[in-house]
Amino acid sequence: MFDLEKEIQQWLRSFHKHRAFDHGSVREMEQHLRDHIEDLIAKGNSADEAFKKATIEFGDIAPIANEEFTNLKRKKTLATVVHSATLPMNKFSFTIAMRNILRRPLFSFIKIAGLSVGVSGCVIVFLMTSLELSFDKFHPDGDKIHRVISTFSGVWEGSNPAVPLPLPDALRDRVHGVEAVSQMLTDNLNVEVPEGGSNKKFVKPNLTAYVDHHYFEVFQAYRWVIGTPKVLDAPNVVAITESKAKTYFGETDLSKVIGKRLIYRDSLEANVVGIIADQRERTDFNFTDFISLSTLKTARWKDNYNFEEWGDINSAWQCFIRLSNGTAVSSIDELLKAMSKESDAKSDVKGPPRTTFTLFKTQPLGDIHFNNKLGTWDDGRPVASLPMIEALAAIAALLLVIAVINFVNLETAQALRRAREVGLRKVMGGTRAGLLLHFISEGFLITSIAVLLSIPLSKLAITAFSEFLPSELTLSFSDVKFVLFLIGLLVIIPLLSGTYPALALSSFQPVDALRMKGTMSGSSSAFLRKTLTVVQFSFSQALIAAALIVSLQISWMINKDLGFTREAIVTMETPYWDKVSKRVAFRHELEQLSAVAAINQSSRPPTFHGSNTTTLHYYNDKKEDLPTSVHFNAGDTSYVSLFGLKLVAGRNVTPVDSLGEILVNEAYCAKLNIAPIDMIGKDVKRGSGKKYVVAGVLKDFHHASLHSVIQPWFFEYESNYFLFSLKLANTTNTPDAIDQIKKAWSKIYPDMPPNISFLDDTVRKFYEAERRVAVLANTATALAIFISCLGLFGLASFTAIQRTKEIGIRKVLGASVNGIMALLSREFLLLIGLSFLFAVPIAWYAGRQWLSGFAYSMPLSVWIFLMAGALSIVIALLTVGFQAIKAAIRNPVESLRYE
Amino acid sequence: MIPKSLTAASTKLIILGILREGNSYGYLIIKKVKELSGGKMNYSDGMLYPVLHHLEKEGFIKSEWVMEDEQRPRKYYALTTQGKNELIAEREHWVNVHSVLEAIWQLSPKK
Repeated sequence: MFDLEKEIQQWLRSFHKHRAFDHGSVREMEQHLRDHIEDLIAKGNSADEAFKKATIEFGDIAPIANEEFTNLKRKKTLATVVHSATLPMNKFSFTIAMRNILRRPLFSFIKIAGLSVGVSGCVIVFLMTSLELSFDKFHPDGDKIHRVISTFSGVWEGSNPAVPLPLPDALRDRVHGVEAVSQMLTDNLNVEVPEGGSNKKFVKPNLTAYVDHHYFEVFQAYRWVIGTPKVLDAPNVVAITESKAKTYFGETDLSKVIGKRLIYRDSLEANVVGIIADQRERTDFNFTDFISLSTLKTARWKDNYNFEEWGDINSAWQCFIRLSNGTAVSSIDELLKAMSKESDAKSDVKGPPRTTFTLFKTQPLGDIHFNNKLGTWDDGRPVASLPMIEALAAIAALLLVIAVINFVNLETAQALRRAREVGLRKVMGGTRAGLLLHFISEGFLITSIAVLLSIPLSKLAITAFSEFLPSELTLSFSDVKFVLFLIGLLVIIPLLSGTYPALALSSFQPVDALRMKGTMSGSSSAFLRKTLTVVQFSFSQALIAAALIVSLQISWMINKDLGFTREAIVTMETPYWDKVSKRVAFRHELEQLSAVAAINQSSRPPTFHGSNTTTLHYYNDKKEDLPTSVHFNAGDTSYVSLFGLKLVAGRNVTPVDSLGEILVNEAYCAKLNIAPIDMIGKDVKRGSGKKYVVAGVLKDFHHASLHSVIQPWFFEYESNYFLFSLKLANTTNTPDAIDQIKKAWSKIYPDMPPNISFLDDTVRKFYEAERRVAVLANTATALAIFISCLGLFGLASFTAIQRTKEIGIRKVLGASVNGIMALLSREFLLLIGLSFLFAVPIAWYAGRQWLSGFAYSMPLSVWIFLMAGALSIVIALLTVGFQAIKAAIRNPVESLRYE
Repeated sequence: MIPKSLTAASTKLIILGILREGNSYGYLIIKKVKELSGGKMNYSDGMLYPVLHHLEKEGFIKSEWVMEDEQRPRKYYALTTQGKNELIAEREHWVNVHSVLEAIWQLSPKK
């Protein structure tokens, strides 16, 4: 008996020997043959005859294959590739993709949620980076502008963004190839506007610059609305920005502002001689009031400035230069090097031999915004935090990777379901490229939704994390670069997440696929899925451990005994420029208060953000000079008792200036290798030549944050210092005590708001950066766990569905609910256990690195890691457990029913 | 019977020409060719397909799978604009060949 169908299948099989035919063309020729046979049968042939005739007329397959092969080898143009790829996709592929997304809402939600968090991270990092890179890019020939800075080597290593006062003039006289040299003093001044009899006060200080016309030769972007830079060469004049003019005088006619008087810091008078347009571009140079440099010679605090002194460098005195065309900056650096030596020589006239050497250098304008060693200027905007940007970038990348892993895992897990679709598409003539495009376009659609969602999410994050992020951070679609960045994400993410599943799915043989013999459930894709899950959970566990380490170290630092009392102590700074008699009066007021138990006046409390350093010279028995770089404080005698410092040898200083008694710490003795008791009565000499005798040795205390090792330190007696430290009588009614102190303050300093800070707050503020890191680490951890668990949840639900029948049979055969749950959870727990092995070294290494930034850190104990592991296992169990319970308590009748 | 080389050379024109009439699929196209040539052109049916695929790759024709209810899916081919232009050009070539041949028949044999 002739079996037509069998014969046709036999005939079709001969096509498979030839690589030239894709599934579509085989299908096409099959239809041809069937049409032909039908026609022939209709004409009265038997099936046998019809088949023979049709195949003979069709001809030999080998030459056809050869022709097709030549076709394949012909040069492909982009147009033909795209053409053939899109061929089998009908116009509704968008609808189909959308339908696929909606048909599996849980999986789509998991993919979209993860990706939108990852994308939001990327958006914020992008906005931050482009914001920080946009600073001070508008200055004409900005690459010619440099700041001159000072660096130090020797006993004291460091740098200062400023130069000695005489340097700018000296540089101007000697240098060639520089268009302009500008000297600038930055300050933060409050302003009064004289109005009739009284003064209108602006308490919030303005960022002020003392400059002359050279400043505007260096920075040529300023636009003068009224006046020219030359007007600033006279004393007691000021140029202000347009908006300041309006704020001060409420005047819209700017010409009327000219000639009006302003009073800075209660006593410095200046007439407005110029109006400068507001700076619209992003800049660190956000000065609003430009007082003429020569005004300083008449200021009440003019004695603070010695225009001949090469030895002092104050960070507020900065110097900017503008190079001429064709001048290499190296030639300026050469000259500055020579001037450094001369400068050291000039300030060496008195005192013992030099132990620290100065080197002046140029710093490009573009570097100012990013150099966190030098910073901008006092009270200026903080520089961009590159480590913060890097940390955020790493976190964003990590979140994106975890989200992409979810995508890949869920897509390959579902492969079996999609196999039928692949088979059908292939049979219908879909090429591999077409299928690839189809799957990637589905990824594209999901990514597009995620990107759309990430916009409000980023906005939310910008508000929620405003303390880490620069305040100018905004999301604007008018920014072309931002739009391009989003488009870039739209291209990269689908490729990243869609390529592997698409390649794997499109490789199915349609025969297998249609018979549901999905190859994807096979070991290779399951192995990949397991590997990716391990990667995800390694990251998550490492993050948990890292977040734990950060939080624990912070609380360890805050609670550590620092060697001095900080409870119930408040500090307040009186204006250093004001009359000393006012401080005496203020002290007298405080002494009357019942809330204040003890008062001390000093240069700073035992611990402080920042430091004062100098050099102490000690001459040993052989008359050898042993210079040591030391930190120092000065104040009255109550310092030791008020702060609870402990003397290990000797006694407190005597309140007599002429005796020159000092206290040193154990670290100083250790540095000189002298026992504390032997240090008593020894003579030492300060770098300036001042002589001291050691009266006592204090037990070491942490005079700076725990980032730094305890340094040699000394304390000298000096009365009436400007910083008041008050011990409160009791801690039960602090608000009342603060109230009393504020009243006393306003009696003496009625024009200034009191600035009271608690010493324990000051200590806490040392770790502000760490606290931010902690918030960041906690958020990153929470998000990473969230996205990873979403993925796990998806995989668990997939497994539960896949094993429905198995579970049913097991239950029928007597398996308990617990047994089923264990069965379903075991594999995931094993994976998470495996991740733990990878996570521990990562977290341990990262933790060590981070803790090495502290001179004193908590021990990195094993239980931190164990806790991280346990926590992740608990979270994973909860995630998987939900699905496991659902599957385990299902009635086997339902799962085994055969539809 | 027309020799193979000539058949091969004219296939492109023939297919494009048939498709000018309207969209069609492989089996119908070949049926039409056989009809028009009155059996003078000897094709093996299968050889049509590489030609169709080649023309498609060149962009002269485009294809689409069409599934009508209860029927087999069929791959329909249609002429593209580029294909229409190509057909005009191709026709021009054959008309030229034809006129050369016409001129040749006009030559009288020398004795």
